[in-house]
Amino acid sequence: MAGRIAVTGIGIISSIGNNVEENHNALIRQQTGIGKISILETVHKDDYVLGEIKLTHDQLIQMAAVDPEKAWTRTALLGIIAARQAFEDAAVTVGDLSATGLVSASTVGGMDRSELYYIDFLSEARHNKYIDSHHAGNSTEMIAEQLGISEYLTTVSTACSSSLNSIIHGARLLHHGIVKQVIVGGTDALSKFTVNGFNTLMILDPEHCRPFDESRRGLNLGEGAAYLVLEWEGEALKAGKPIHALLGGYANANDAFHQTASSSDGTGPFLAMSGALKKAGLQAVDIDYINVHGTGTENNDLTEGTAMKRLFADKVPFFSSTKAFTGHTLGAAGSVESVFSILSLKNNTIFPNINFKQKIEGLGLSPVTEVLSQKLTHVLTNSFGFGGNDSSVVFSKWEKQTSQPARAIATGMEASDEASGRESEVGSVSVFINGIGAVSPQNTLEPGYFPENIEAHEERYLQIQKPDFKKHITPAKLRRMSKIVRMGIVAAKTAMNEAQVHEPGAILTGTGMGCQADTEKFLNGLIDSRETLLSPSPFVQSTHNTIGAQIALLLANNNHNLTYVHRTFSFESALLDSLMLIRQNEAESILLGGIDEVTEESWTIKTRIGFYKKGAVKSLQLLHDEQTGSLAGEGAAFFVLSNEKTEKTYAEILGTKTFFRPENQNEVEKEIAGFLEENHLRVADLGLVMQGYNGDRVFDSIYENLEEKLFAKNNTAWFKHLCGEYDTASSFAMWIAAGALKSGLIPEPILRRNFDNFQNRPVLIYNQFRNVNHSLILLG
Amino acid sequence: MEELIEKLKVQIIEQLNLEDMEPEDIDAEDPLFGNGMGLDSIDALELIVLLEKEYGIKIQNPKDGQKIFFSIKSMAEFITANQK
Repeated sequence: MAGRIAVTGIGIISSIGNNVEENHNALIRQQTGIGKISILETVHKDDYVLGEIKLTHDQLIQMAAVDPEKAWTRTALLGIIAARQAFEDAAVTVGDLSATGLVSASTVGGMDRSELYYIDFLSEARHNKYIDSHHAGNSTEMIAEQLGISEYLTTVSTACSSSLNSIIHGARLLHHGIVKQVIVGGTDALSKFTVNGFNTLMILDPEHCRPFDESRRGLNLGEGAAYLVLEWEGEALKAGKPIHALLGGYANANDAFHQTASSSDGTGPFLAMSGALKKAGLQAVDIDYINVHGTGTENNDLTEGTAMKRLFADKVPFFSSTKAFTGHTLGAAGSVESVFSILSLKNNTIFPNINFKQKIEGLGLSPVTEVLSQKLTHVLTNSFGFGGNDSSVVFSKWEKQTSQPARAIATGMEASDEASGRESEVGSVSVFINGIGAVSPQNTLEPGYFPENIEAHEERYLQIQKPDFKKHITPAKLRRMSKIVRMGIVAAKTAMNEAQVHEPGAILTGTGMGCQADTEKFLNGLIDSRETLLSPSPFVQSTHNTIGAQIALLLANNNHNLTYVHRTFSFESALLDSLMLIRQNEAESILLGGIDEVTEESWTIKTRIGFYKKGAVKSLQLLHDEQTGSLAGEGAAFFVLSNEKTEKTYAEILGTKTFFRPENQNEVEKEIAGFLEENHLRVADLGLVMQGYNGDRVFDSIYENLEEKLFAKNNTAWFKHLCGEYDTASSFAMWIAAGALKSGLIPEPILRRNFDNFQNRPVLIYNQFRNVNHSLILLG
Repeated sequence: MEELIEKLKVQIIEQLNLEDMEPEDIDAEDPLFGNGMGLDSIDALELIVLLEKEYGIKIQNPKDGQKIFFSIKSMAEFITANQK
């Protein structure tokens, strides 16, 4: 396996073009895509300009050549158009698909449909098909299905840095041998939700934005999607593929300053840029050009410029923001600008920062304002998001390697990974759970791990036992936090206190639906008030990475901070990323969590499409309940993972795996057996199998079949009668499993079949969402 | 003015979700931001919404907020001077 990651495919759709060539031409001709609003139906039509893609929903369906009957969101349509271009550009073959992954990013997911039909979602049937296309992972799944990808898929959501983070996650998947090639990027469609959200923050410029200009007044929103195909250089060359560029280095850091504002000294951006250089094995002087985040807000440009001066001193390289062309495409911005950076490298051309006239007072930095021909070898691109989430990526020019590899491109840190597949890494570093904390519908915060008395609920959905939040969080901070943030913080603090780790090397969270209460509050306000007099707080808190960001703020933690938002893959993706970071020695300890909340409205909406049981359910008799659907629930479970075994250690994490839409029950069994084999285990070696029975008979039959056949001679357990069904419920199962392995006892209330002595043998957790998203976690 | 100040205290507690605060805990002349009540930039935007919603006064430039929202007293003075 070659040691350099190559970009072998690129695809893009934005307000300046429907493909790579059109985008390139517009950049060269200095034609902006920002203008009067004509597609989005909003009362702010005449208040603002946007970078709209001037195609209606139906036109996009035609362009994407997809089945119009499916529940397409604009976000998914833009995604499939760009991803397919990248896929075709890299000439991905059917034979490659079994080792191809997809890591996509989105901030608001299917909000473009949800905001149109939300009132219907609550009472009318006519738009029900869009209910389940709201979640942020939906566009990823639609793309995966169109392209035939099922080996690995996940979705990242960290506000405006999202798609650089999907590139980072994708690179790690390659390094860890999880996939041989991976499509990475992001997609976000314009929505009233975001326009009004940024309007409440008063950072939308009614005129064309002017990044890095003294007179800048804010950003222009845009929409778009862009994807790259990443694979090992050696593999690409073997297959005779042209290489666009090399992925040199990357880093994500957290500003840990404020939920929306960035620090005045540019800590987060500085750490992201310097981290990316370090990972690429480069010095500051090696960078020839920066495609900056440059949104045009007063705060961002000043902070970013300050960080650039901190890193490059008086030798700040050529730089420009391309946001005055495309508008700020939010979750897609990182990959859109990665495509632009690659075009710059390939063509030795710097695209101009249009609309610039005057330097920012006190900063003294001038961007490139004309199309500039310049030899480029290393290009840096930045994306910074809410929650202080800052990422930078370096792309380097690809040149055929001569006998003497260029020092500058050698990725020193990864030298040991070069020749390694997964084999050499697994086993070299072990990952232990050294602290746990859970807020759940049970009294799980009490000392002594598993509660003595189980709460027998009889409600329509299960809600957490509310801890005294004031004991854990100061009132000043508490006042803006919704339930999901509060419970996440309490669970995280509990785990950290136990492990005595207060500066985790990374904070990784998974949440299927994120901050639902805040999202509903803002959406309802938007509909009720017809887009007027909206409060900024629920918008700010509605981003999926709020929980991870608030934890970073409380801890003043500047380290890696990522959030995965792919239904029941969310927690497992965060877990897999944790394993990769620790095994690759990029972090010694990690704070990992799974969090989801249930609200009356979300429960009502999903009950209307048969997901949940309509009436009250006796939770402990869940499997005897006659109503269709499952029992909804919520919870937060956090873990401190470490590369060191201590006296506090609960268990070792042996592995995790996800699989998507298996064809039949046989394939499920094959996946499970294959996963165990990868971990050198047989079914008989398992001391306990925990399955995600949730009372939905249609899908519980999958667990029953396994329990009768594959796991016929194992101890078996269930757990959702205690916590209910939610996307990250497997984190609660892992909390139970960790405690069982430490104590040597399987808690009585979870046991289904006691076959033999547990003897602290490995525990397998198997969970699935409606036979679509299947996941496995193995502890020992 | 006194009446307006008392009303503002209640409205601010509600708009900013200051659960643990009572109107009498707030001194009308204390700075709302920084070392005073410790409000931040998002609170300033919330106060702009409050002014428009309750008093029909629109603030176009968030920077203007710095002066207007210095204290509850300065807010009350601004409202008195600008309310139609």
